[in-house]
This record gives sequence, structure tokens and C-alpha cells, in this order.
Amino acid sequence: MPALQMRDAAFARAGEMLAGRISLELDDGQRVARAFASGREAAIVALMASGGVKATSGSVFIDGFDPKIQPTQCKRLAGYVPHELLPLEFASFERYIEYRAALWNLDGERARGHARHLLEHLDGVHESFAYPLVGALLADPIVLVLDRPQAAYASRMLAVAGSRAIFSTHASASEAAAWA
Amino acid sequence: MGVNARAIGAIVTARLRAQRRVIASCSMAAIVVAFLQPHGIPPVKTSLEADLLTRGVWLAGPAFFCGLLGIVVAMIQRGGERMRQLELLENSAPIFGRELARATAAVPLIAATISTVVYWIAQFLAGFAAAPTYFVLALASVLASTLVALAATLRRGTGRWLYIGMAFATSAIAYLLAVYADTFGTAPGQLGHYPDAIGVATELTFCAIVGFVALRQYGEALARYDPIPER
Repeated sequence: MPALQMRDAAFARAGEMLAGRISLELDDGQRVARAFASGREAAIVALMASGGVKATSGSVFIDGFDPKIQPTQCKRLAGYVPHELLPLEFASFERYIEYRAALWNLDGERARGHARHLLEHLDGVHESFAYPLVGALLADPIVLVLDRPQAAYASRMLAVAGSRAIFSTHASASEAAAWA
Repeated sequence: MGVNARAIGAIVTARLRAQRRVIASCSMAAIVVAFLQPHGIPPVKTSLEADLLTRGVWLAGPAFFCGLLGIVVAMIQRGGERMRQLELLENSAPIFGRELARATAAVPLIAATISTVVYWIAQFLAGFAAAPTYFVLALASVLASTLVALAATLRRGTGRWLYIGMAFATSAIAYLLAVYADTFGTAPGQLGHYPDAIGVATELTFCAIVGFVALRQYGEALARYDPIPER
């Protein structure tokens, strides 16, 4: 069963097609980087792929689970890294990890240890980009979805992400090439 | 602590931290208005008029002003860059819409409650001793209108304005029930030991029903909500 499967997945609002139609299939260890016409479309596709937004037509399956029917299972299986910077409320890395651990019901102490280990491998990556990636990987997702990640950090972030399925959305073909 | 309570606690704490300045500003505004609010009741001829005016003056300030503060704080729970970041984090977490609704509703409810409490304390300090019953009536009205306003944050255009209007209507109806229900509900002499019983009971019942339905509906709407960027 593919880690991520999108079949003609699209998102429309009030008759206007905002994203789509996307078809792809990702297994463990595979990676797809796709460029879209706008940052907004890239953001919506990333949200659809991680179960955060439900496709209005077509279908999305995360390890066989449908976000329309089993949204919480999908969100456990997919790690989502938003394009937006880390909220200012998390003054420290520990506070951010505690917050993520609480939302995903992870053991606090174990999550902190795991997070520190991941962060060590992101040396040189700005914390605004490193922290969200560490947060997304805390729950050990089977698929990692990145919304318009920085091309400059591609090699380090991909190394930390490991052998799981990785789908990244981009607003330009050159950025997508860095993650392909 | 269970998964839901822990997640809800984390969301509430993060949002309270994000909006601490807003909550402090609302509290300060409530204190200022409570001191400035005219408390005088004009000379009246009958005890019925005196009763109505007293109730009206006691309730109008906290119910309408703190209700307005509650609606404003509810409206800023979504939208804006800062709340957008938290919203994306919460949306990507494996928690149900109804749990997320409770967590996100808690923050404006806490802000509205603090505003109402400080308003009431400021009234006392200003030498205007409103009875505790009026604090309960005002708080119920404020919480109900705040919960109705939350649904507006998940809608756009006309739907949003409709829910904002309903939030203000909730305040107005609760106020009218608290002030006038006894006048039309009991003849003189009835319920002599509990002169405000019908007003208090109808207002609290109305606010409880509206608040419960609004929170349920907010949870259902949140489960269907797609947090797509506006541009």
C-alpha cells in the first residue's frame, strides 16, 4: 500500500478551482518534488497531502486511510512542515517540543531526547526551518509533506528525514529541482 | 492526564500566551468603562420603574461592553499571521474537531470572564455595589454571545456578518429577558420572596441553550473547516 496516494485530487471553493488536479503515488523511500503555479496552490496541495485539507474532488489516501473519513489517523501518519515560520509563542526549542508532544500525545521526556538528536543533525539550518522539521518528525510519520521548503537546506533536511516517503510542493521549478 | 486534556491544555496555554496582551487590554478597557459608566438612576414614581431602571443600569454596562469584548476576542482567534501559524499546527495534529473547538473556545471565554470579573470589581470600587446575581447574569450573556461569535471566524462574507449579528442579538435578548421578564411574567405579589426569579431563570436558561448549541455547531464547523490561505 502506498504511503501517499493522490488521484486527481483537487480543491475548489465557490466554483473556483484553487488547486489540482494532482495524481501521484509515493512508497517508502520515494521522493516527489512538484512545482505549482502559485504559492497558494502549493500550500493547498501540501495541506491536502497531509490530511489538513479535504480534497473537494478526486481522492487522497495516506497509507490507505482517507482524510475525509479518518482525519486523525491520517494526521498521525503524515508529518506536515508548513511554509510559515515558527510561532513566536515558542520562546525555546523545549517549549515547542513540549507543545508538539502534547498534541501528538507523545511521552515528553522521550520526545525531548528524540528532538535533540534530530536537531544535532540539522546543524547550520536556521532554527525557523529546523524546528518545524524536527516537530514534524517527532511522531515518526510514514510520509513527510513539506510546503515550499528552502532549497538551500535541501540536502541536510532530506538526510534527517531519512528513508520515509517525502512530498514537497514548490512555487518554482528551480526550487523543486533542489528537492527532487 | 488523557490525550485530549493534555492536547487541549497545550492549545489553550499557547493561545493564551499569544493573546496575553489582548486579554490585558480588554481587562483595562473593562476597568475604565466600569468607572466611567453612569450609575445614577433618575427619580421615579413607582417601585416598578425603580426596579426596571436599577436592573437595566446594573446590567447594561457589563453585559453589552464585556459582550463586545468577548465578540472581538472571539473574532481574532482565526486570521492574522500570528494566529495562522498556531492554526496550522493545531490543524495538523491528530485531534478531533470538537476537541479543537473546546480548546480554541476556551481562550475567548477566559478573556471574556476576566473582563466581566474586573468590570464587576471596578463597579464595586466606584461605589456602585451591584448584586452578585447581576454579575452571574452579565457573565452568562457575555459567554453566550462570545460562543456565537466564534462560528463567524469559520465563515466568510455574508455568513460571517450573520453570525456577528447573532452574537449581538444574543446579548440583547439576554439583557431584555433579565430586565423585563419579571415585569411581564409575574403579577405584583407573586414570588414575593424571589422577585427576580423569572428574569434570572429565563436569562440563564436562554444563555445556556444558546451557548451549548453554539459550541456544538462550532465544533462541527471546525471539523469541516479547511484552513487554506486567503491569498
